[in-house]
Amino acid sequence: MSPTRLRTLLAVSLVATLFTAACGGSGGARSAASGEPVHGGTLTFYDPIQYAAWVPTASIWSNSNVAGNVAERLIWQDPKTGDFKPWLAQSWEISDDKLSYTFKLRSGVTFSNGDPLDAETVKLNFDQHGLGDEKLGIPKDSFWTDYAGTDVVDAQTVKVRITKPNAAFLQIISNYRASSILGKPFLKLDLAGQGQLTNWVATGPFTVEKVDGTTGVTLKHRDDYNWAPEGSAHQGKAYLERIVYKSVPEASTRVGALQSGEAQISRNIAPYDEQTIVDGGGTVIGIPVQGEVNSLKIQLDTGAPTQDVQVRLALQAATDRNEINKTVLSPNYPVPSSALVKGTPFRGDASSYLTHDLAKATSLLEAAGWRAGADGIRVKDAERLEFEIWVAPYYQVAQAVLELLQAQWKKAGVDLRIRSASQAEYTAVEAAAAKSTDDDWTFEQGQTSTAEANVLRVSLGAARYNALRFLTPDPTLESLLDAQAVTFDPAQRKAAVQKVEDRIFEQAYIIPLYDETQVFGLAPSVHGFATESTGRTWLYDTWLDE
Amino acid sequence: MGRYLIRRLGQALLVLWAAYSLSFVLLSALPGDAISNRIASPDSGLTGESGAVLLRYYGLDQPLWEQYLRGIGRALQGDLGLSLHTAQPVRDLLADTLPSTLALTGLALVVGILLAAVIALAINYLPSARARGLFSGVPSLFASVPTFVVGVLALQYLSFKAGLIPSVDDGSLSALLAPAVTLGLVIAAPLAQVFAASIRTTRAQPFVHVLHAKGAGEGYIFGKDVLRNSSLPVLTLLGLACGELIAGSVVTESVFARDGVGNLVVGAVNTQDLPVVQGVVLLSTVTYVLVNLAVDVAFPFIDPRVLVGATS
Repeated sequence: MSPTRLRTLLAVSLVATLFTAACGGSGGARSAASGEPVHGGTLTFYDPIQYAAWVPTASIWSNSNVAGNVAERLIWQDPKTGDFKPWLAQSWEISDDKLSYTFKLRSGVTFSNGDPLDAETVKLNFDQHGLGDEKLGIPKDSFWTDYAGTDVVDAQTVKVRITKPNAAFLQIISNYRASSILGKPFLKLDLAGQGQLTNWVATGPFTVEKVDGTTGVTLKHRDDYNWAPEGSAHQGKAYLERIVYKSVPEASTRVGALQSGEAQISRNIAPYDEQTIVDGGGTVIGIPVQGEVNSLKIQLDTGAPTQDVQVRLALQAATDRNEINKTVLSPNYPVPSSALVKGTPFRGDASSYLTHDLAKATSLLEAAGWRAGADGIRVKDAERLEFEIWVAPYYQVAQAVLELLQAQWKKAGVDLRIRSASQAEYTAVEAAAAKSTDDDWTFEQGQTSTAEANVLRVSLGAARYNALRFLTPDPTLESLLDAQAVTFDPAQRKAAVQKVEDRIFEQAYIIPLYDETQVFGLAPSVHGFATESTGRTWLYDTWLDE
Repeated sequence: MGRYLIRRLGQALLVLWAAYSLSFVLLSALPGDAISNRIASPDSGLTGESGAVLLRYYGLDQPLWEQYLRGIGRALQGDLGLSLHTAQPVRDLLADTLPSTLALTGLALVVGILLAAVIALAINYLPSARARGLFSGVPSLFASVPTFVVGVLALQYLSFKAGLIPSVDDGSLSALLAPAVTLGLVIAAPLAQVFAASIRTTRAQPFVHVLHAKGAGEGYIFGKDVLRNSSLPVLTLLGLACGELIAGSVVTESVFARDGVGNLVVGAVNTQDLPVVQGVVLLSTVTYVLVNLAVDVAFPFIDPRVLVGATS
């Protein structure tokens, strides 16, 4: 490591420590405010990715950074504690059989077109999520499983019914991409209509003023907004007058713009750019994205040597996460010690499975019959222990992390071949691999962000996303995933999630790389910056000093 | 002249059809499409059944030839379909982004022509032979530096260091200037070269010597005769340069994060958004065809001798 690099890391870690200390060491997303907040001003936000279809269920980061400030949910999930707080619903009750949820809506809430928030509108929203609408081209929302329907109890009360108990259901109601409440005119539109942000009619503190193709969005605050989620730093209208979002693909422009004062917030700051921003007087904030850690998911539908659990465990042991963190990442990306990111509710502890142990890795491979070959790469029955991996284009640090992993695995006699592709090519190859059961697609780098331990069931469950591509589901894992979802007592739930983690890592189904993190660069004038529970910006409390 | 125009229009339509079909074939040959890619993306959460709803909605479950015929039929009625990525009508996307690109390419054209004229005049008319030699190297310099290098350097020094211009489009003229100059440099190089050579050839013609002998000044001769006689090849090249501008705007708009047709097509190619790519292909083809038609029509006015060859 060069001295410059080391100095950079030291400085960055110092700043990060100071920052963490300032906000109480939590996974908190609030920058220290100085002075009294002021109203007014335009905040310019640079994002690397172009904006795409604005359907409420879109997960694309650039969209969700905007959409969350326009549309709201019944419940607010506190990003620090994971607790649920009243928002558009002032209170809720869960039936004893856990099959119906009754929400009392807050009174006085209006949509930006003047319509009041009422039970019927909520029902229309949930029906569209839970059932989809074939005629309008709207697919069923994958978060809304086992949906039985919503009853309008009275004008301000709705009862949502599900067919199976689900400990994660309240979180779904609070999730930005599963349960945003939009106005009636919006719900009548077909998929293309709903995909246009200018058509959004919602209750949020900001409304859409202007959309420039795929490169920019301008939001303006609502003067009559007065229903901020409980726990907000203030009430009433948002501090910022306007937010200008702009997609700026050039990383150097996003960094430079913070220094020149053109932008106040830039998203996706690369580890090597963090110091530049700090030197320019700005702040770098890494926000852990609650949900799954960023990991390699071993694809079990291939004929690769990773079918053997000993090989999987060996790869796990050959992976040095501390070195990854120190060499190619920054302190903003925590070293993973679970299948879930730090701060995710009910997260278990898997640190004992994730220690780097090269001796263990080699002895496991020896035991599995893989012997060192002439070039140092292990061989068994004339087959080399080599894998192909495609760099996931969604993660800006993916390439650097994989290159280091390649060097680490080589020490254990494993040849990892890295292939890079454009996003279109990547998704095409990935889709082909998903269909075929005889391919070289052994690992998939990925993570799903939801601030709930049940994200593991959504992602790994064979009947859900099936990210491990089980041909025959692992019955133990399946029953553990299902069990945690119907455990409502917090202590028991935590134990149930731990059992899931134990199963995942005893089998080494996933190889965690780092805690998924969003890194934002902030100009010195930005105060009160915050995100919602999965790292998407919530700029209601944010203000600018002049 | 009438028949000449009709034939040119027929050719133009043929070119449009070929461009449309070729882009369709090329993009359909790639594995996947925008919607399938979106469904396959790890964070999409779309399962087979909900994915099928999307594919049906966009008509991507139909056989390719049906998609092609339907696309052509709609295009004939001026409907370019829906973007698979943003769900907006392609026509609206083009209408939204075109003004910004026209402003950029328009200004770049002006910058390019002015630069080319200055360089060509300097190469031919500067009194010092050394200065003339120096300027004759300029076009190759411009031509050999890639657009994005000029763009990134301009950003680094003019925007981040000096703070003279905004680094991304904020609608102001100063935000337009840097990308326009960057883009203008690209077309200035070939224009200057051709213009300079053309002036040199014209000045070597016997009639110029006659004018000199009659005592006409250099400025008078240039304005009255040399300019007109040496502008034909430049005009032809200008038509081609417009194509260069469209291509160049793709890079320039990306570097300067400007909204525009170039940026639109970058995103569309990345996401395999077929209808948008086709819309842009059609638009650039129309522009290209129109500009070159205009050049051809302008020819006889500058030099009536052209028509003699065309109608015979």
